[in-house]
Amino acid sequence: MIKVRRVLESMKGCTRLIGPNCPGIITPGECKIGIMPGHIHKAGNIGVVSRSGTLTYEAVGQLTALGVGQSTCVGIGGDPVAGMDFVDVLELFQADPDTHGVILIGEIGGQAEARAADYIKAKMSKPVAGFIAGATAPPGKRMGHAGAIISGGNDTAAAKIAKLESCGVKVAPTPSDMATTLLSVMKK
Amino acid sequence: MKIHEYQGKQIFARYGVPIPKGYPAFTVDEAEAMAKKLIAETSSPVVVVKAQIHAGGRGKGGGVKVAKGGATEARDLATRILGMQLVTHQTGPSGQKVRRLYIEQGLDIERELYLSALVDRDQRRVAFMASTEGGMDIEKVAADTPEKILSVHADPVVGLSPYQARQLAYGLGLEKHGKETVAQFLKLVGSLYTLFLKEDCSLVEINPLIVTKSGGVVALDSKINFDDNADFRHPDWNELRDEDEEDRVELEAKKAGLNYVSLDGNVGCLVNGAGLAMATMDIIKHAGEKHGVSPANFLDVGGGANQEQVTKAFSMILKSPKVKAIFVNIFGGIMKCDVIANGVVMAAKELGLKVPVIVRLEGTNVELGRNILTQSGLRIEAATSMFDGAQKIVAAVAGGAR
Repeated sequence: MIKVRRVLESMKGCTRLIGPNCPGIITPGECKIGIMPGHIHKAGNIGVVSRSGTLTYEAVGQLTALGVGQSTCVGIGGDPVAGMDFVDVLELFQADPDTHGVILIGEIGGQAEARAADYIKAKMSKPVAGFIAGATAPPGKRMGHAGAIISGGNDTAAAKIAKLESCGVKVAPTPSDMATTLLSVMKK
Repeated sequence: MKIHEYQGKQIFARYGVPIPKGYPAFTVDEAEAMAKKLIAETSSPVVVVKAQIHAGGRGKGGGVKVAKGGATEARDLATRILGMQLVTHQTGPSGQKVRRLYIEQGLDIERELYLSALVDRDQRRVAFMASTEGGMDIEKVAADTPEKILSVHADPVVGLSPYQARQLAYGLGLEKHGKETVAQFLKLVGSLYTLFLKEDCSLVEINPLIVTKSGGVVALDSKINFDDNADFRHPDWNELRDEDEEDRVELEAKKAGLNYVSLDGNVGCLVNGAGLAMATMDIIKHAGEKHGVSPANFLDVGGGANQEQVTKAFSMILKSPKVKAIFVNIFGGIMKCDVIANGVVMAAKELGLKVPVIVRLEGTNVELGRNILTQSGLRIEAATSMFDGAQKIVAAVAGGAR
């Protein structure tokens, strides 16, 4: 994967890779490339980007239940080295006139959420709500995803939540509040 | 996957990374025999007796001792170390039982250095880290004196360049030991990179890497972690695996193809997807912390699990004595809700349900799954959302406390 990623970087723009180990991408009502349950989606204006497949469904399910549709949902996968990362997807959401708000779902391990937070602060005008999984994960244990391991100091859920909040991202207190948290930011 | 120091050194030897002479020993008698053999081979009476467990900090914990008085002293040390509960900063307070020893030649040490190779996820490269502070806890060095850590990143296409290895060599001040020492180090770094890629490692660490009095560069320790995702192309890893070092339940789960991590709480969790599984733990703790309710395990049955695997997973949770309630939280994508429901029913009928079970099903084939649960006649409570499920779990465990 390290080699694949290196080659993709050298041909930036021509080819995008999503994943590995992710549900894929869907623009409800238009196109689905992946394994997500299509029926829970609804066409609309919220972008969802996530390192976890089932948490993407969770966020989508919550949005649809509230009558709020999605523009595009992207699972970027939980591997430590992968194709598109949060920032790549956020750039596209920022440029997409049909996306009015974004839910970003991260987890423990790595600095991808921190880079996303910096990007959001510097470049994004659209509201973003977040959730970070793994607040209760014990340090040093790999939690299913290859990349979900707390190894250093600032890759814990608490550190990531603090970083996102400091960059203007409202983080949901529980995984059941992802959609309501975004809507609360968008109403303002 | 982790392996023992002596196994790592056997791999080092295959790739031409210099190591001291040494032999593994599983009994005190073997330890004495190996010490005798070493002393004869090296014509030096000094041998080191090293406990082999999958954790660092063995020396500080009393698991590494030097015998200067020959094979009899080595035997005494082996008697003391073999079977001890070795406690280090990485084992937790209960420690790890020592079942294997490594008997190694003693060397005259001029300097102790640190060298490692690992996947740097944020740079998306294999990184080499080196430090003059060998033999120390490297996390502590990184935190206290980050300037003492040198690092270079190998380009995955061109590999590790010779100039990068030289940067490390001169950064460590190896030139003052002579050209030969520098040359040996450069060769070692090259071998380590080849080893890292060929053996599909996620970490290779040598702490300490020593310069001997005669200017040689030798790996005095070895720590290798393999990337578990590559195990399908390494049948040899089965021989290196030491099941005594792994959590019993986690091992059982791994054999069934499940991702399982034991925790110390009282709510069993069966979830599909690693992110949702972590989030389920989070929400249980969020809702139940005040009432002493927390997750007993992380369990991701994955997307491709069949009914037998689900049955196995649910059985494992049912058998755990600390579990006071079970939360099944499924958002089906490729995983179908009816597969989960059938697995749960099968395990429950076989083992009986002694604790409350709360099930939340969404996604693919959700109606089928719900029907199977309803028609099973089992006492299973349905939840409408994750939060609803978590609250019902807390109510079930904490009783009237809510």
